[in-house]
Amino acid sequence: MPASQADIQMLYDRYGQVLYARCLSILKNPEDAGDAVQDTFAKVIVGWDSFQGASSPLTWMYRISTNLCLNRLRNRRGRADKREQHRDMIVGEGHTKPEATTWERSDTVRALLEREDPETQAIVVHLYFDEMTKEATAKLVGISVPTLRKRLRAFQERARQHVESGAIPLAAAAGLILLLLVLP
Amino acid sequence: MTLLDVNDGSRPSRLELGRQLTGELPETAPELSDFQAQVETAQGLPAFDWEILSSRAAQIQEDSAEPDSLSSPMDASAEPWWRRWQSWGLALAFAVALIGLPALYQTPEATYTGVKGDVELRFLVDGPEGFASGSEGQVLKPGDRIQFTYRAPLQQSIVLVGVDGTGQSAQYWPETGDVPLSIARDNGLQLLSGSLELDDAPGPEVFVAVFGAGSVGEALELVEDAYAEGGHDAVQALGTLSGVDTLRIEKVR
Repeated sequence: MPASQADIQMLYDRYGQVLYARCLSILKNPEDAGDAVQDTFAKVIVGWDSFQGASSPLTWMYRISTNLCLNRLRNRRGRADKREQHRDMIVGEGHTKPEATTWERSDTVRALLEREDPETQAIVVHLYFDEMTKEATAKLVGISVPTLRKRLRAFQERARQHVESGAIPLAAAAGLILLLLVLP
Repeated sequence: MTLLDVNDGSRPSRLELGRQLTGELPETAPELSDFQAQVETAQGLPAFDWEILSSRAAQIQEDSAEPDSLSSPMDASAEPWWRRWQSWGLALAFAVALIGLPALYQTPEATYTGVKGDVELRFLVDGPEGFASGSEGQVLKPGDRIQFTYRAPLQQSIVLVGVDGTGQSAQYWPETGDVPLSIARDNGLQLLSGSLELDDAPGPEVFVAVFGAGSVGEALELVEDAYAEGGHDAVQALGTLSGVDTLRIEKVR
């Protein structure tokens, strides 16, 4: 039997705000977070049968919303790349590059995350944004704990190299260090 | 929280707190009131709108080519190429291993040429008269030096990894980094530059060449998952996957 409006409204009232707060902590953009929540519930409607069989509806929705948030981060990254590629066309040759926006300058952790493969992104989200244990994260992502540990070490190393190589501007590096200390 | 400070289980995760806040779990965590305040501070949740949700659901159904995608934690289109075939590949590989390996071990001196023909990995062992062809299952000692050769006419990159007798996996080519080593398309047998000195971990060591992998991490994961499922035999059986070949040696002290 398909989901009814009453079914979904009840779930939305119960889980919507928790999901929204979580998506907002990942995306830092109210509009994107709202879209991610609505898409999550749209997927609940589509996958109603498997959703009803889930032992924890919130865990089911966390998994779905992780992918949706990461897709939005990737799209955001794509848009940023496009802006960068066409910068001269947009601002005219020889012009100074416009100042980075506050988001681009300060949210370096998310910038790092956007460069990772989907599985590593999910690991980082669950470990650092959801504060899950390695064991719980490995189970949710569907990999072994040793594999997770290896992925995590590699991510940490790339993050370190990224800062040390100067790929992240000095001001942003200071922001990164600060953010690494206070995540999320 | 820092990048090195991962929850060791001494505190509830935010998912657990969310489950407590929504009534899925009993409210027991002292951190719950702080978490609730954070959740309530997040402003901007769109009001419930059945029309929007049901139209998005209809759009998802239209766009969805894979009905199982909802039950997967990862976006299937973003999965490594080998993962989509891994289960079938491993099942096939086990079947082949069950049938083929006993016969293979009865003639350890025979030159190993793989079970399939798209790629091929071989090795040379340094001896008194220079490097000479090695054979599958050959017994070697710590300190022996080996070189690898491969044939992969249609491939553009290689990752060579291995699992030693203790189950420890390692990356050999490229030596470091996550980017596979580029190789030229060539029909002939190619030599991987450099040689490898065997360490003192006793027992079997299986080397796995993965051609066309997206990253070294993918290749390592493939090997580690196989080892977790069935030990060295399962790793060796990966050689039946397209674009993958393996070699096994035995190390004695």
